[in-house]
Amino acid sequence: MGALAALMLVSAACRSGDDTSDVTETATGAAGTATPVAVVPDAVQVLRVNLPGEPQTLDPQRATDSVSNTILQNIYSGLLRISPDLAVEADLATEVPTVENGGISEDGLTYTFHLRDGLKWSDGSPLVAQSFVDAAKRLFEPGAASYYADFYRVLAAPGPDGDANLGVRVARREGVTGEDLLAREALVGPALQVEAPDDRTVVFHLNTRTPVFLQLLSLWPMYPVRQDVIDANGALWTEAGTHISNGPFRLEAWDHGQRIEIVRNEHWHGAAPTLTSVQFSMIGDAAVTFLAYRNGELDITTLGAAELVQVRDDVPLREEFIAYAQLSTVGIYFNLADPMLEDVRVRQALAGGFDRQEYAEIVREGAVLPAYGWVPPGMPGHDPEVGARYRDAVEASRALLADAGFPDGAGLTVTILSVDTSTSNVTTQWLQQQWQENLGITVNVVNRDTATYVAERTAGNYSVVIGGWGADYPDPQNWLPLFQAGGAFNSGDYRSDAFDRLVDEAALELDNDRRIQTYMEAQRVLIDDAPFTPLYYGRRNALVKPWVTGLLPSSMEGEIPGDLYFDRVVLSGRP
Amino acid sequence: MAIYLARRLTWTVVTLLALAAVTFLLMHRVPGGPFDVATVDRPVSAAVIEAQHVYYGLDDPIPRQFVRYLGHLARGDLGVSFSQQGQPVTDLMLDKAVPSFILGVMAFGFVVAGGVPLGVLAASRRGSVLDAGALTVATALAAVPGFVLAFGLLLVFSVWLGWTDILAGARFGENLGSLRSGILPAVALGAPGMAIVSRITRASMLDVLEQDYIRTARAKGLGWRAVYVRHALRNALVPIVTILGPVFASLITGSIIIEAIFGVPGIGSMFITSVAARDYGVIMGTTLFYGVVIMLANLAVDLVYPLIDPRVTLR
Repeated sequence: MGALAALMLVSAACRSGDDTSDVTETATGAAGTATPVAVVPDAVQVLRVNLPGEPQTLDPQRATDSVSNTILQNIYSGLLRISPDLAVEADLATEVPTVENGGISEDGLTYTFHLRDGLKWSDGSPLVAQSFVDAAKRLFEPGAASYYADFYRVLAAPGPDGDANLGVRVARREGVTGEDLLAREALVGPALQVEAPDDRTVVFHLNTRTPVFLQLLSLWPMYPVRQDVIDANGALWTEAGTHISNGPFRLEAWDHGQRIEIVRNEHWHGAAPTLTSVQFSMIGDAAVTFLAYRNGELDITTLGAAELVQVRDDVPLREEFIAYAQLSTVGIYFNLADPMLEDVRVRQALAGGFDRQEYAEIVREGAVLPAYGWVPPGMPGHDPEVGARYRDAVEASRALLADAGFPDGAGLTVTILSVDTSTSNVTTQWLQQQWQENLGITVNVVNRDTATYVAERTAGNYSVVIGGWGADYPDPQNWLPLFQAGGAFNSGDYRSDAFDRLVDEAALELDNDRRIQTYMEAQRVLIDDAPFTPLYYGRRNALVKPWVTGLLPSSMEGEIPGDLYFDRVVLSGRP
Repeated sequence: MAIYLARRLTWTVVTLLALAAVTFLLMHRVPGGPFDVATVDRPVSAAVIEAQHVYYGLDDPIPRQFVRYLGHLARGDLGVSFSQQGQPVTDLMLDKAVPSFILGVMAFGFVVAGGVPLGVLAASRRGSVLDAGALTVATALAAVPGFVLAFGLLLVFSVWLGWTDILAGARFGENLGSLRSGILPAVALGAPGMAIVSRITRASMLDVLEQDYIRTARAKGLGWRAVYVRHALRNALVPIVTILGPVFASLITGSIIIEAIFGVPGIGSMFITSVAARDYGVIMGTTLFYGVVIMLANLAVDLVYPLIDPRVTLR
């Protein structure tokens, strides 16, 4: 079993835009880093943008989708945040802890944070360290079903039978499920060693050295919460009337399925945003939002393939176009339990049997970039040559198939299981045609609605599915462990001791350069073994009105360009 | 009359029970469950999914679950939504049903005010250019897909003429002023219904216009209004009213496409999204809601018959 992202993901926790190289192509003046030229702010500072759908939840310890993230990132602040150049910087903490300043212990297992003075919640009450302890405990509530809880299994939870969090990790790798696993998960919360020795100090104890821990603390599962509000209101505490947060904005209105409005939080500790509010509509149809943008009703909109084509031909709109890398990779997962795909030569042949360039440029109208590696550009560990063997490899693929006992593809049948959306359909049909023409094999495409797709995928009724991954944080540790034995996205039980060993090594390596090198070695093993082969890197394509200044697009943002830093946006010159 | 009503209501309950049973069974037979969908993008441990199943009683045999559901239903409890984090189904539906109802009534107004006169006109000028024109308009409206019409209306009225905002639909139903944003969706929603009603009106009118009493009325020298409206239309009403019942039912339950394009917060999308998400409580709730609406609409139609045709008695 593996959990694989479906191709068409509106609510994926990670964006599936395109990857470009490290260059950010921006339009004139609309985006980019802060310009030194003084900007005259308009009288009205209300930003109007669109979410592709309804957020699943605005509870930071329960959210898993990027629509929810988009809002959470604006209404909450954590101890740390990710800066525009993808480094970690202090937010609620006075400084980033290091070994030098004593914030990190010598053995790397204790992290101490000091909170700034005078921190408040959006209702004016003081924000104390205990709220971080509450957040951590909530993350591990049994049955909470939060995928992100697994990121924080490095938090120590010592007990008489050893560390409870480590116990869960081991159990998962060994394939323990059911009541057994739940019982082990229940041991974590009460034993968790996250402390607030006083109102302004938070201490995290880890059970393993974790070089990426600081990045993990900048993510939403570690946002502080008001336990008293949750206790008083139960599951509905996230509604607009009762939601309390601590970010640059706070939740003012949430009409489910229709719109969200967030307004400036007067109690935020940072430089007050110029925007007084951000209004989010919830239209899922790209054609409608495109029309609304052109009609002047939206200030920013993302573009689907059809809209991209129209923008290219439209001179004024071209000036407002921006495109940049999205730290996401989508590709083809092979089911290793399928006897036809057991032979690595068959998988390698399939991996080389289609033209990624053609896919990106023609099938997707240039909205995405061709991918030959797993770790996308813009991410440390990206290796543009790791998949070179699959470039222009049709001849080699045919030879491999012949070697493996399928001369001219005869006898090889592959079934592609896909979700029934227009993008998926285009992709699977193209892939089918490529494999049939280039390799002579038989390809069946099976289309199902999402829930049936998941059921079929879980049951292993497929040879191939299309799926991908988008970064939760900008580090290869978020990517490579997915393919370890028992790993979350490990389709068809890929098992490679060499790969597992390299990934485990890298997780403990403190020297950053060596760590990245080890991850890159692991990636080479992965690409050569081909339990998965990449197809494209995601890219965000959007239009931004010229009066939106100070917008900072980031590959770590949610659904809307610049949504990680709406507090720095200034509207100037809107007619 | 009372006996008639009692009998009808009994049958309604029986039908709804059957509807509930069939829906419940089919719903659980379909592969995939409410908690699987979340695992498309991000893995959720199987143990947690199992725990959710147990918590919501989804691991019980289907008949027992159904009986439990009926028990809750009898107390007016439609359960909770799985996709919407435990929100009560009743609240969710009520929230959305009101805008759908208002929009449906507006669309119904368009259907009746547009369809009936068009049909009468066509019948009265049978064979003329007017008749052919009316028929063409009706056919076109019925044939054009909803989303094409919707985009066409947006293009003309929002983009070219600038009379309304494209995103205005999201605020529909909030207050009286917001009703204006319902005009375009109401037209898009009602267009197929209007086409049907105009065709049926025309056909029924033509039937009636053949009758002797119409010839008598004309011979008596009665004016256009007296002949066509007071005598002809009144007698042609039965088939028209018959179709208006189901048309009204389908209008107030909304359309997922119209709602998606205009951003109207209606119940139409709930029908589709709940199935895709396997949100069992909402699927049952929306299906039963639709069932009740159709039954009530048909009952209303049946009660109206004696009013328009004194020869009809309810038995």
